[in-house]
This record gives sequence, C-alpha cells and structure tokens, in this order.
Amino acid sequence: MPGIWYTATQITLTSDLSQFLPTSSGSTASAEEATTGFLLKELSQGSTSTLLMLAIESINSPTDSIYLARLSKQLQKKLSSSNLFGFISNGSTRLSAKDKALIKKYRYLLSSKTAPQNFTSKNLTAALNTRLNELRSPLAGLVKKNIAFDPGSEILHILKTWQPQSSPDKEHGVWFSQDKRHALMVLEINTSGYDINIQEQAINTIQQVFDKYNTRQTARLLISGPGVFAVKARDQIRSETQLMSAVASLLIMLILFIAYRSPWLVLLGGIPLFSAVLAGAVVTYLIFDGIHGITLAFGMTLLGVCIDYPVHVFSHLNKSQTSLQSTQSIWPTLRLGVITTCMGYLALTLTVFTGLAQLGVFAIAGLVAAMLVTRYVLPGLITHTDLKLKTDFHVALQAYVARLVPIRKMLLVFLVLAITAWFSLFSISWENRLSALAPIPQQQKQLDNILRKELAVPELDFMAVISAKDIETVLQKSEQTEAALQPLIKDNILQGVRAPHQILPSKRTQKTRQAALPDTVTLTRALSISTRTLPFKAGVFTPFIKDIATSKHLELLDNNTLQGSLLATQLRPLLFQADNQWWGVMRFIGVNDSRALAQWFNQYADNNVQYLSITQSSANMIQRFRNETLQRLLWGALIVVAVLIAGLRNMRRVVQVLLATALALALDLVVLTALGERLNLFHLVSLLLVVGIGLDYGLFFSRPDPDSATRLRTLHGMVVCVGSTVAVFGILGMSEIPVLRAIGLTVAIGVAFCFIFAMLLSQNKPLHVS
Amino acid sequence: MMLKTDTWIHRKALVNVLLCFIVPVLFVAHVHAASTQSDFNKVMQSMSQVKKSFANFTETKSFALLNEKLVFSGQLFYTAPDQVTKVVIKPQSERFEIRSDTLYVELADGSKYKLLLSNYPLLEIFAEAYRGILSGNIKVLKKFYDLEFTGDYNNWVLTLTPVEEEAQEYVESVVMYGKAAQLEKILTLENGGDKSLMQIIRPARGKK
Repeated sequence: MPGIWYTATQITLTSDLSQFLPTSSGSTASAEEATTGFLLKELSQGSTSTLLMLAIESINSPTDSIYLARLSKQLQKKLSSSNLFGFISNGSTRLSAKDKALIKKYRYLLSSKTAPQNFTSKNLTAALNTRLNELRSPLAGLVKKNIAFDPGSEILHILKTWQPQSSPDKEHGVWFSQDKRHALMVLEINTSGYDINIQEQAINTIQQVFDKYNTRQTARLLISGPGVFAVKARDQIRSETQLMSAVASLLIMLILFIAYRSPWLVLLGGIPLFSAVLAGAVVTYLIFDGIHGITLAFGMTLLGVCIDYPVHVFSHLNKSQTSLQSTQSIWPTLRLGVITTCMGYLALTLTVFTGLAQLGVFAIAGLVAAMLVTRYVLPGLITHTDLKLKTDFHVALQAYVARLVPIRKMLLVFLVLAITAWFSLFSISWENRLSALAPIPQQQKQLDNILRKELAVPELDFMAVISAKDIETVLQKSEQTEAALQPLIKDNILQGVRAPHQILPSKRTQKTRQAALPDTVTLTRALSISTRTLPFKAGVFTPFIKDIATSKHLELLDNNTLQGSLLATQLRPLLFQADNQWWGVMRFIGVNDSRALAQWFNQYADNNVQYLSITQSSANMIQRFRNETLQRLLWGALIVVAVLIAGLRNMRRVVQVLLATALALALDLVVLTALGERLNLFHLVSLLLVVGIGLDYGLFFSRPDPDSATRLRTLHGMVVCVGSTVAVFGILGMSEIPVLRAIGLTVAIGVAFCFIFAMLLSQNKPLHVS
Repeated sequence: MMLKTDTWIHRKALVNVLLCFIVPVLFVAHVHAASTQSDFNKVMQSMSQVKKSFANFTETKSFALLNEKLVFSGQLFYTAPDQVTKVVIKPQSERFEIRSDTLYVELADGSKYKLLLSNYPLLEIFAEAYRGILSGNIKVLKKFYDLEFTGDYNNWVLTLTPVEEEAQEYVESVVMYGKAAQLEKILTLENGGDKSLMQIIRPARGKK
C-alpha cells in the first residue's frame, strides 16, 4: 500500500514531531511549552545532532596502530577539504596563527587564574620557581621563549581548560581508545537542518574515503552518531516496507481478482483511493500552504477505507440492473458512512496542533473525493454487470451467524463485563518515548556509548538552556550556573560542563580580571622582590610588565572579535541568537546521575535558566498531543452519534452500528494490551481508521436489504472488504518495525472484530437460504 | 734522438717519484678514512650491543635570561631499543621517560602528564639523539642529523647538526663525547647562546 510505504520512508521523527507543536502564537500553549517547542526544533537541528564519531580498528590482531594512525590522519586531511564537514578532530589539529594571537593578546582576560593574589611577590616567586624547574627539564626549549612575557604560564593554563576534562590519549599523533585498539575521531556534519539525506551523504563519503586509503584492507571503520541511527532506521524501514507494499498490493489484487474474476475491475478498484489521496493532498496544501510529511503518512493510512467503496459497488453489480442503478441502491448507505466518518474527523481540524488539523482536512477531503468518484465516475467505467459471484461461503456464513442470534444478547453482556473487568485490572500503557518508535539495535547503541565516553562528547539528551535579551546576561548566568554546579561536580554527579563563558567570559568577569591586574609600579616592586633570590637577569620581565599594563586597558573581548578563529567555531553551538533573543547552551559531560542533576535544576532559582531533557520534553509533548487528540475524538464521537441519528432516523440501527464499533474498539484495545503493546501515536491514528471502517461495516450490515439476494451481495462485498483489509494489515502487523507493527496489528484486529460484531448485531431475523 | 730519450727518462722518473709519494699518501689517507669510518661503525655496533645500561649524571645549563647556571643531577636508565629514563634527584625529584613516541613527565609536586613527541619537534630531536646513540642506530641519527665523527674508537667525538630547518631554530648542535661504547659527555648548543652540558658517570663497577 503506497500509504504505508510513504509513511515509513519520510518519517524523521524528532524534527517532524516538533513541527506538530503549537507555535508561540497558539493561545492554549503556555510560554514554557512554546519555549520548549522552539528549543527542540533549534537544538535538534543544532550541532550535536550532526556529530559523528569514528573508530578505526584493525581487523585482525595484533593492532597495527601505526597504520591506523596513518589512516586517521589521511582521513582527517581529505575530509577537511570537503564542504560536507565542519570541524574534524582526531587529536592532530593545531591552533591557527590567528587563534594563537588571540589567546596571547587576551590571556589575562581569558585566564581564570587572573586574580590579585597571583601578582603578589610571594606567588610570583612560586611561579618563577616553577619556570626554573621547567628550564631544568627537557621542556626548557618550549618554555624559555614565553617566560619573558608570560611568566605565570597563562597561555598554557587557558589551553588546558579548553581541553575536555578527559581527552583521549594519543598514539602516533592521533587519538586512540584506552585499550589502544581504536583510532578515534569526531566530526561535525555541515548541515543547518536535520536533513537525513545530507547525513547519509556524509556517512557514505567517509566510508568511501576510508576505503580508498585502506589499501592494505586490514582495517575497518566504525561510525556512530544520531545521523547513523536515523539513516539506518530509515533504510531498514524503507526496505521492509518496500517488500511489504509489494506483497500487500499483490495480495489485494489477488483477492479482488478471486472475488470478481475481472482484471478490469481490479484496476478500477484503485481509482477512488488514488483520487482520495490526490484530493486530500491538494486541499490540505491549498488551505495550509504546505503539507507536512507525517500528515501525509497518517492521512494515507486513514484513507485505507477507500478501498472498500468500490468493493461495495462491485459486489452489488447484477445482471438485472445497470451499474449506475446498482450503485444508486447502495448510495445512501455509502454516503452516510462517509459523512459520519468525516464528521468525526471534523473535530480534529479544530485543534491548535497544525499537524492534527491538517490530518483532519486531508482525511475529509480524501473521503469525500473517493465517495464522489465511486458514485459518479466508477459506474460509467464498468463494462459489464453480470458477475457470477460465488456465494456458497457467504450463505454458509449467514447460516452460522443465524444460529448465534438467539444467544447474542448474552454474548454481548458477557463481552461487556469481560472488557470492563479487563480494563479495571489492566490499564492502557501509553508509549511516550520517541526512541521506542525507531529502536536502535543494541550493538549500535553500545558502540555509541563507548565512543561517546572515550571522546568525551557531551550528552545528547540533557542540557541547560539560558535565555536573555543580550549576550552579557546569558554569559553571566552561564558563569553563575557553572559556579553553582561545582558541588555536584565534586560529588561526581557529573564530570563537567561545556558552557559558552568558558570560551568567551562575560564582560563583567573580564572587567574584574582587568581590575585585578596590578599597576606597573606595584608589579615592578613585587617582581623585584621575588626575583631577588632567583637567578633571572635584570630586565628579563620587561615584556611581562608591558603586557600587563596593556591588558589593563584592553578593549574587552566580544563575540565579534572572535570571528574567523577556531574559538568562534567552538562557541557557535553554545551561544546563538534566534527569535529576538540570545540563547546559551550548557552541555554536560560524563553525567552519572541524571535524576539528581534534574532535581538540582528544579530547585535552582533562576528564571532564565532551564533544564531540558530532550526525551522528557518529547515525552511531555507526545502526551499533550495525545490528550488533545483524545479530547477531540470524544467530541467527534458525539457528533457522529448525532449525525447517525439524523441520517438513519432509526434508533435501533444507530445502536447496532455504534455498539458494534464500540465493542470492536474495546476488544481491539484488550487484545493489543494483552499482546504487550505499548500504545503510541500510530496506534491512535490506526484506531481512527478502525472506527471509520467499523461505521462503514455497521451501516452496510444493518441496512434493510430488499431481498436475500441483495443481502448476499452485501455480505459478499463485506467479506471482500474485511478479507483484503485484514490480509494487508495483517502482513504489516508481522513486521519488526514498531511503526508498521502498530498500524498493522491495530487495524487488522480491529477490523476483524468490526466485521464480526457488525454482522452479529445486525442480523434481524434468521434468513432462509435461497 | 738523444733529447727525446732524455725527456722520456725524465718523465718516467717524475712519474715514479710521484707514484712513490702520492700512492702511499693516498693509501694512508684511505686507510685513515676507512679506519675512521670503521671506528664509527665499531662504536655504534658496540653501543647497539648494550641492551640495558644505567649511569649517574650531572647536568649544567646556562640560559641567556639567567645570570646563573642551573645545576642538577640524577640517574639515566636505558633499555633497548627506545626507552630512556632521566631521573632527577637533586635539587628535586623528577622523572622524564621517553618510551616509543611519548614523553612521560612526573614532577616533584606529583603531577603527571605526557606529551607526544611528534607534536614537539624540539623534544623529538633530543629524544632521537639520545636513543639513536644509545642504541647504536645510525639510521635514526642520520634521519634527524648530519653526523661528523672524529677521533678513534677509544676516544671519539660525534657532532650532530640538525637536518630540519625547524629544529635548527632551537638547536645548533649536539656534541657527544665517548670512549668505546660509553657515552661520557653530551654538550648541547642551543640558539641564542644557551648551553647544556651533561656529564655521564658510570658507577664504579660498570653494570651491563
């Protein structure tokens, strides 16, 4: 079924879901929810979702680390020249001349060591003694050039604080894992949006370049990261759904052929569905000026009921009527079915969630189109009405059900009691985690965890977000928050943070440091005291004194000054401007107790600082989405009842239809929960389809047919409908992929029950076999 | 033709005389060169046969920015093929170990860190100089230095001048003095007049 195929291939869950959210202009959305929604969108498109981690290992032991290191360097060099990637780190990257110049010029403003006590003669003596030790050591050559202007070794201190707390060890010039068996690398993919295609292109490029250099063929490349998961998930879904779509389409055609023995009719059967999808897409596009991927996917699932319409028409063809006449005879029932379903979906269109609203419009437009096509176009295309339908099975079925009629009241009471009992014992478990929809194989997840720890890449899931009108406030709050987090770091709740102020200190901090620098007279005096007992020649530290004096009056470092340097690249994901505000992102490294961290932020009294857990926020949003949907559906149900009563003008029939559908729904849920399914959004949408079909079946079964022959034809049509639906969705239900299994199981089981109950409840009197 | 015969005899005599002088000289020179060459090889070969050694050292460093020399002493350990450890005892306890491609540093205050030699050319050339001579590896030395060997097997001087321009910025030359397979002195001349002299003293009973 094309719907399923499309669903599966186009889903990029995180970003798509965030576009389902109300924007800040929605009246029912609180400010916090709007912030969360906006942030999720920004951050899921931000840099950490575009990080890839690589490990290169030797295929056979022993590990040829020199070869691996060479591959790592070649890979880094070649990939750096490609536009696909932002930064690429494998431990061999060095600072550019511009970076070095910046650090040297602003070192006293950047260094966290800058404080008044550092410039007392006592501390100066200590620092100089350390320098003397360095001069004695083999490192003398590296150090002696800087002593004259940087006796406190600020530059080295700054560089050390920028290193992640635990950076991988190096062998042969590049990062290696702790067990020395893997060469490691981190890359950032250059994409401003969460575009799976670019991610895939990047991953393929890396593999190609690697294969080119791996001439000895003794090494293997392992890649991990969000992009890898997304691409793998999409490929898996794509390949499986292609297979299933093919099988399902063949199956439908086969069933139609077996039922009607006419290839022409089989072809005609697809027309209403096709026009439904077309109409739905066009109307939604016109109204909303665009159509959302998930809407298209869900929508096409809902339009699955459109296969049934031509089936009803075909089954009612007989030699005593023209195709138009026989169609006209079932037209009222068909029409009522479509209208009731559309009324139900109408409720969806009135939500704040654009996604739901689009879905409602799509479904309504599609169903109406299918209905009209079936009524007005299809009969004209039918060439002959004399179908010799085999009805032996149907007659037997009728007879069997007739036998159940006397006990059906008891059966119903029993079922109602059973269902009530079930739901009082077991409640529906809702699946709130986005991750459950696209599961990552265990092996892949393990690799990801290991690489993340080795490379000290910050956690993807949680972060603290700081928002304010200007940069300075954001940076100040960043500093305050890190300072406040120190006790937790000491307690090993987390290892550290990566925050914007670490690269660009707030102006306030810079000013404080400037003030802490001594004036020339004081410094000279302190220096002369401290150098009295040390063997430094007179005048050696003149450059130092000069630099301190310059630093005291230096124009403060700001975002613009950093442009073009490596620092700016590192700062960008942590500090950015969007939506008229400045945002700072603080990421956490090595979190050992995420709950304690979350709790701490809960109590942290600062309105501008918000702790965000992407999984938690997504879960909250899914829950909101679901509650809203359920609410709407309840309204929809009421409207359906009203329309049914108006349309049927027969309370008995209304009860039959509603009861059948309700029972089927309830039992569907019972079976799903019994199977251990945790219900997600796809189950919910599939239930909508079940309701649509249930109403349809109920109406057809309960209609007063003029004679038993017509009744048999109705039954014939119903059997084809239920057979094809259950077959197709049953195949889907056997899939390993959660999305497909959810839709498949729900619809197959639900529709089967709809059929059973609709048939059981509507049989009014035992029929004689004719 | 009497004159012709005379000239011919003269020429022959001249040639003879020349041959008598030049050939021996050449021969001696060649032998001398060969023996210098072979002395160098012999030294290196003897060095390469020592798989483990240990000695005491005293080092004196003078810097342009200091008005005093820095003196310190300790012990040197070598294990073939690429491990050299310098343990400083006076004035404070420190340890510098070169193993494969990394320098491991342990300071008096207990702090430890490591540096990758390939990231620091200055460290690398020193490391290779020490390792090269102690392991008797001519190839390694030649990779980083131009070599000049004077003296003979029992008393030699090896002068190393860096090949790379980048290294020449730091180091002018490294001069090693030794007797047979024993390194006695290393004099490092750095850019700007800075110098370092390391005296190596074998313990009384030469440990192998």
